[in-house]
Amino acid sequence: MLKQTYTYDAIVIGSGISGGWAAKELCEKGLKTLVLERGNSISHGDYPTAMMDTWDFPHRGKLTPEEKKQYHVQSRTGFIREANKHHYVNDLENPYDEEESFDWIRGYHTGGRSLMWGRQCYRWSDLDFEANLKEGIAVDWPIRYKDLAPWYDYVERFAGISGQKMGLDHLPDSQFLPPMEMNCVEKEVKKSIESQFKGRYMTIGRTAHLTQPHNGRGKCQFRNRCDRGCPYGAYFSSQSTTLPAAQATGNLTIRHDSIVSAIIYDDQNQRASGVRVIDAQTEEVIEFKARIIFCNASTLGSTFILLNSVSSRFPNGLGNDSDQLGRNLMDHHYNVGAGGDFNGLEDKHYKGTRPNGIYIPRFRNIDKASHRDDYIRGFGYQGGARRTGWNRGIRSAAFGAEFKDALLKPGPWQMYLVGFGECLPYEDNRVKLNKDKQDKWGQPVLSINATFRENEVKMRKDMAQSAAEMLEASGLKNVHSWNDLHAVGKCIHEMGTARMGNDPKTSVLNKFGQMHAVPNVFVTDGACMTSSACQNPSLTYMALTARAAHYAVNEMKKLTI
Amino acid sequence: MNRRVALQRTALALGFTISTSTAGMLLKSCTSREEKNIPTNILSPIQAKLVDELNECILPTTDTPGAKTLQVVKFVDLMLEEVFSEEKRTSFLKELNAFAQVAQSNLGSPFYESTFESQNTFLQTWVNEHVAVDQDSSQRTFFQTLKEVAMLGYYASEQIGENILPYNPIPGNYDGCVDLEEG
Repeated sequence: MLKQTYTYDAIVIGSGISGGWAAKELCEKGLKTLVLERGNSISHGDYPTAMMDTWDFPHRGKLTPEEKKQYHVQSRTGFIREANKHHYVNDLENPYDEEESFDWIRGYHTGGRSLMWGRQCYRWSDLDFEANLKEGIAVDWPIRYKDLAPWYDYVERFAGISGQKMGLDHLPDSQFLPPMEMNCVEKEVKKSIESQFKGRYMTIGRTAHLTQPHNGRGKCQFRNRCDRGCPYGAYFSSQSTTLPAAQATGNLTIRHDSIVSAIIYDDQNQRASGVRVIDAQTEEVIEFKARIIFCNASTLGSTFILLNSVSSRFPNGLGNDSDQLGRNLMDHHYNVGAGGDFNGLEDKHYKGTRPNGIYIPRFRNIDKASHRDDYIRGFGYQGGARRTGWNRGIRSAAFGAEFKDALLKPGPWQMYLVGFGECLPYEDNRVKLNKDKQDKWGQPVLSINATFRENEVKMRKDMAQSAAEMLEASGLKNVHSWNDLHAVGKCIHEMGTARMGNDPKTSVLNKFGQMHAVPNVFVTDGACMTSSACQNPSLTYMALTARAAHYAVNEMKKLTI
Repeated sequence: MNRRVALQRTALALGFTISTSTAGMLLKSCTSREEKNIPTNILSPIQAKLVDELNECILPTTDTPGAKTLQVVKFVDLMLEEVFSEEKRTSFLKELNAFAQVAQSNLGSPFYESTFESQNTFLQTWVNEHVAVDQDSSQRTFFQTLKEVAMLGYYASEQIGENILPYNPIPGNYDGCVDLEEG
């Protein structure tokens, strides 16, 4: 086995949402930066299915039995199809243990899940950052909204977030591009909800889509084929947005097929000296050295690397003096909500396919008036209205001329609300390494044990009931609610396992995502999160990463790291 | 509610599905009922004729083309070969043969040789008996499976998608509230 050593100023592990930001900021500050991506290369524009019509796919979207085997975990979501399957990992090559059922949905390629993400972007607020302290849950966040607000501004201006200002303290406004429009039914329902329920508001989804050209990227064409990759660069992905900026500095090197097995700890300097990489193709082991390391391999990807980085100083994983590494795995809980039929506006439709829905910000446990005795924290809703298409006829027993011709015309309006709820951090929602099992590169596998608990279950009852109540009050017919508790991971918002905190005894990272015990290692992806809030988390990873990168560069100048 | 339906609802609500849209211009079709073998890999020539006729009953020719004209049976055959699990394929073919037998004993001749009218009358009776009423019958699974695949092969075909349904692969912008004709 060849063992070579290459030297950079900075190494970024992972090229997804947070890794792309780390690369951009570090490169722009003049650091020679190596980005290590474990998957294959997908350049911007290299989206083979982006311009294909449904009928261009031989199975019109369906997966074959062989593909269902290959994607047996990935296909537990409703999202993987013939058009985007090449963006999901092969589950047979990427095993893990499920002590409790856990859906680990991944994309191993340039950009990671920034290529297939849901693109919804909501700021967090002090309602979120103060919650642990106020309620005595887990540990306090080491930051407050004021620490992050300028960095939200910073990343939003570059990424391009469309949305509507609301002026809510608990869901602060972003630096917005013009909002997308609600359709006729959504506008009606918004009016009904806001006039009948104090403190409940409906707004258009805040999304990382360009509604006008921005920084050389094209505007959204309303095709809603985003997860195939956008040829216009109209939504935020690493390859459309951050990596080109990093590339433009001349300081970026990106190496694919580079599986980081460990961060190397140097006992003498009490710093990380670099990383050990297995080449996914040649299986060659290579070491890369750098002054600082940003670990942005995704929540569980980063924690895997840290757990696998053992030394005499850190026998239980790098920086794991607190025994918190691997603990407090969170995800949002969803698959709960309500839907119904809207009678009327049959002569109205919409033009274009909007890759976005509506959002109802959290309205529970915000103040005394909205306090609940049965659970803490809260939830928001995503959803929207649409006219049904031909597939509305599939489930009925009807057939024949009238049936066929009716389905060529738009169907009735339907509206859905889907809840996204906060999950508390539980110490024993935990991942460990199983060293008795190996993947094809000889690495141990993650063993995952996480469940939702009583607080989530109680919240879900309210999520279903409140959704139905709002739709009924808005005059929708046949309102039905559902509440199907799922495995952790299914919402693909996994967070925690290397939390930030003020105290090195109870947390892995400080307020800059910097490892308490190894100051030249930063973790700024989902792993660093101290609680989960109920908002989609990626925008917060962007802000935390940009802030940490600027801090790291300043510390390097001061020679503290 | 089962998990799959709940998931579909969630996906639908979040807008990840392919949307079909308004009715566009209607095309006149001229179908000829000339008989020739349809090339299939899983369905026997006789099974293929039967499925072809069943598809046409479900999605008949009107002033828009029917399933026969679009050779939806070829798509059904492809799905049987490449997308169905072996178990699902076996039970589908078994139920198809069972349908052929019961149809023939009722109609006095093979289903595919009967007139369109008697095919329809028989199919409606059969559906009323097995599909509409008994929710758990193997006949229902068979019929709903065929119907779903036939609809996918028909409505999501190039001919229907480009010529009958409004075709606008690059809308360019979004108007949330337009008159039906413009949508």
